[in-house]
Amino acid sequence: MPFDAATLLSQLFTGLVLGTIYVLLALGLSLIFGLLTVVNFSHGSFYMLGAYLGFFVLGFTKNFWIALVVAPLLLGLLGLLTERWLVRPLYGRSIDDPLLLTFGLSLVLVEAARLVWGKMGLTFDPPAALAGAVNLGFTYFPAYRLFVIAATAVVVVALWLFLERTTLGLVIRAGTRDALIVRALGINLNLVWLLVFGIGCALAGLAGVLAAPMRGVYPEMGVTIVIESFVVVVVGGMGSLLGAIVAGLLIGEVVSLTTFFAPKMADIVVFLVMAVVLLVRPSGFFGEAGLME
Amino acid sequence: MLTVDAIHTYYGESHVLQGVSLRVDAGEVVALLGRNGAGKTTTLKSIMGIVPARRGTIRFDGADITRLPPHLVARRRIAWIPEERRIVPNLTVYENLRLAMLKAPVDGKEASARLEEALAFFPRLRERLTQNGKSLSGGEQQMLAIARGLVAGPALMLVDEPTEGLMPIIVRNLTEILHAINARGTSMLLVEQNLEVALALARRVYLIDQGRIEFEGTPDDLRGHPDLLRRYLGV
Repeated sequence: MPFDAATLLSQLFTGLVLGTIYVLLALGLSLIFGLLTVVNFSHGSFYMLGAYLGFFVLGFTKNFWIALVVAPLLLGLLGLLTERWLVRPLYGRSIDDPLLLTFGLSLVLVEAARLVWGKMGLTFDPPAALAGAVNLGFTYFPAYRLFVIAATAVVVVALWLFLERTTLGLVIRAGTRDALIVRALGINLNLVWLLVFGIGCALAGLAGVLAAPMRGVYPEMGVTIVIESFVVVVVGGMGSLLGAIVAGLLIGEVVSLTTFFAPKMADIVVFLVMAVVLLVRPSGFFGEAGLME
Repeated sequence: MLTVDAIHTYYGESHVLQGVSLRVDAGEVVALLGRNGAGKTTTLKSIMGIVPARRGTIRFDGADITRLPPHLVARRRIAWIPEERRIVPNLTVYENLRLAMLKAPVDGKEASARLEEALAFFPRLRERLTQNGKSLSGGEQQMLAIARGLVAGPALMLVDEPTEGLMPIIVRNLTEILHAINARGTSMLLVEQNLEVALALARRVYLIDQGRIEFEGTPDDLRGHPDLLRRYLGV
């Protein structure tokens, strides 16, 4: 196997890019789980829809940047509708009920995508401005992938500022830990739950558009990655946003390096990492014990 | 001000409150006493809309609040100071207070005056404004729970076991502060295991047992009935 430091560095960068997609998906999952205690299994389908809608907005407007903004907004809207009309009637019931509902929804959405757009994948070209490669010193790296890293960093910082510096962020942080006292202090959490579900789905849509030029657009594109993103959430600690970021990048690197050094292991290494982490820290890196009780 | 009329409250199939009636008049401290499991906390939770009563009515300032969800009960200026304190552990002391002021029906100037007033009662909280809720001692958490109720400017406070598990010196301090809060015009429905604290603060007392009110009277009436104290409080 040809191997040198430059190849390793290049592979680490590839892992970082994969990690950013995990981070975006896991942030949405973790935000929704942390506040609503809903395991959103339709997250992968929202990611897939983000990619398709991005593709069509791009075809319509010929402008990648518009697609990058509009597709996540449409997914956010779909998230609002999903929370209001499908998930909300199940609050107060067992955690399995919304899980089954969103799992069913994901099957419906994948099948609908096959019916509407066909089983064949679509090719999604990166914008011309980001088409080439950049010389990083040790290797040439696609400019678009560097953009994905930068865009994720911006989103993460924006989300952090939103949660730490705004009034709504304060309510979300409080509601994540004790919804009852927040309500007893006069705050209507229904609106907050709705909004957080929308934000989480918009993040999935954004991940879909960002991933499309790298991974292609096809109906099943969210099926595997949502499972891996759940692993990221579990490893990082259920409901912990910092955990989603750290674990997302870690899993991205592990998958990338395993693909390079031991390709046969690449599909299962994610679950090995999860098993080891759960043996050592059952609540994940940053999880608070007892959140599920 | 508050009238609870024959409410029946259930946890699932378990019939916890079996026709509880009581009232709190403007400016009063009313104590609700009874053994563990008698229905004291459930009465407060029913008023708050957390465990709504299935039958009976709860009226506050003339309006029926029996079926209101907790956030709407709170906006009618009823503050709940729960037994478990429920300080949000990942927020700072200041953020916990700010949370309570978000929906308080007051303007910015009055809100900061309220904050000053609450911190004047609890100078120890002022020193800890930037600390996380989970770093507070039990006594400090109780102070913050009361301060959090105060900053919303309540007309009525539902105070559940404020002195439970605290050192005697803090109990004395809290008793004085609750008295001062009441003297400024806030009514209270107080659930308290510490009989001396309850009788010192309350103008009227209810004894509750197995979900039913068994006695209503003044602290002096109750002191004159050691049989009742033995039977319903085990004192």
